[in-house]
Amino acid sequence: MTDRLAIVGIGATKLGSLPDQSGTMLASEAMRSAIEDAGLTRGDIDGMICQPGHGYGSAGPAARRLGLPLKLFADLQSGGASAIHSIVFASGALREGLADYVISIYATKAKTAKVLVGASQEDSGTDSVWGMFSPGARNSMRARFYLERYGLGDDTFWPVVDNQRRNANKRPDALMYEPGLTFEEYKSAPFVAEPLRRFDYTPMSDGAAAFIVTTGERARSLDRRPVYLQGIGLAHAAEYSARGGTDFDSDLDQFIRAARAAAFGQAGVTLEEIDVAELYDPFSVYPIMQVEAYGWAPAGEGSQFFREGRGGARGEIPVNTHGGHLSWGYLQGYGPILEGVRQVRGDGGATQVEGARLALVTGSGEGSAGSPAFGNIILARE
Amino acid sequence: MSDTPKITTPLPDVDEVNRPFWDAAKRGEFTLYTCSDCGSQYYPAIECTKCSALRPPMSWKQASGKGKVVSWVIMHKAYHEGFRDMVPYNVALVRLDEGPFFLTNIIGCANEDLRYEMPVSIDFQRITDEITLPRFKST
Repeated sequence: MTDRLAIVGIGATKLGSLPDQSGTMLASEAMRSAIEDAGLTRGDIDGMICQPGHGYGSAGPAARRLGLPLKLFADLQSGGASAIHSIVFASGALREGLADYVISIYATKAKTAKVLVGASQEDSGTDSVWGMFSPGARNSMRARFYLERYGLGDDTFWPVVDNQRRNANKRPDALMYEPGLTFEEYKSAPFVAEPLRRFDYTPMSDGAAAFIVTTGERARSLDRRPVYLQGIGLAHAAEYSARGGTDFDSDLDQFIRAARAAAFGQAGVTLEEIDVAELYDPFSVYPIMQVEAYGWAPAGEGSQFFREGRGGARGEIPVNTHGGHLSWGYLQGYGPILEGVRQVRGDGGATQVEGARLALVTGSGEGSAGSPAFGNIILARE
Repeated sequence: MSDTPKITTPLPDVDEVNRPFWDAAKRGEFTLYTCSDCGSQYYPAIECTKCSALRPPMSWKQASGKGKVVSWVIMHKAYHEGFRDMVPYNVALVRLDEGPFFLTNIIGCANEDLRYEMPVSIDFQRITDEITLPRFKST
């Protein structure tokens, strides 16, 4: 078996409204934290992959601020799938001997810049002709279809929002560590793209997160215990949606299942062996569809899965132990990866899943492809 | 056909491939991108996925303009200035009788009256001298 890659360092800034900190400051801080966490020095980092962030752009300038001796540098934009895609590209560079330690980074100033994701001033387009804008609205279209197909009410998504908020309330690193949320508050908040309301959306935040990937061999020479990349699987919806379906019909299920099969096949593990799941959740409907696509809940019963506490921190498969995008904060695909690493290391604090050995992490995004990419990785302690 | 006042919402990106679709809409005709080898129909301009040819013989052919609503959203926020005065408005996904899904607006129907699988048919709305939008209404 080929030696696995490993994540050897993670770092994140605080989240929230940080008007006095530039994107480059935030990126530099997250990268310093990751380098320190790995027990490396700035002089060790010779590869860097950035996902350009809302309200900021590429964290490239942070490489110069830190004086990194880079051989590889690239911006990569596939939305919430970028973090997982960065591991794929890092893998190529590491295995070809083109870099020794690749840092992947996302920094955003979305809160300060008051970014409305999906807003446009273009005078021409495709979906915008009909007034269709934003990933949130596309997920809302998915949500309405889901409600109608299974005959569910508009309280269907609350159990996910509640699950994520309860976890965040136990995690000082979460954006929503302090504020609680009741069903009444959830229900009385305004719609954004109906049927999704304000709390069905991830709140915007400033902040940055980074992680460092290297070869298993190099990882074992460090003091910090490595977290191994046991399996990676990718899929894209272009093919399914071209066949005449849509990206929220059964096709979503199909491409998640394709990515799942690839990752689990490579990892040589079964779904039952997964201890914790960090599922990409910028909108509440998405984790519901994922627990169904992975097979933790039958079709149409994803909401019930969360309502019964089966995805809770002490549930049968804890989901989004840090609070997810909905309550930990939105650093695209980086938040779920960092939490997967923490859980497998045993650093999950009050929401640590006891004895977690294997974590599933997902990422999904559109970038400019017009239909979603989906990726999943399995992180392992040994 | 009905006219609507001049608005500043985005106009469709028209290119050589989809120009026949928009030219037909101007004439009040609804067309789909059709494979002349197997007859499969698509929207938008997707090259036939049932045929393996690198360049399947595709052209725009008349379609029924009928379908059913499979999903919809009510946009409560204006993501573009052109929609500022229209919120809350609907955007719907119609499964056409020929198979493809078509993103559109349902007109003449209050937001709360939209229903799953509601039968709808085409109703063209002239937006500019060049562009006529295929919207749908309840049948």
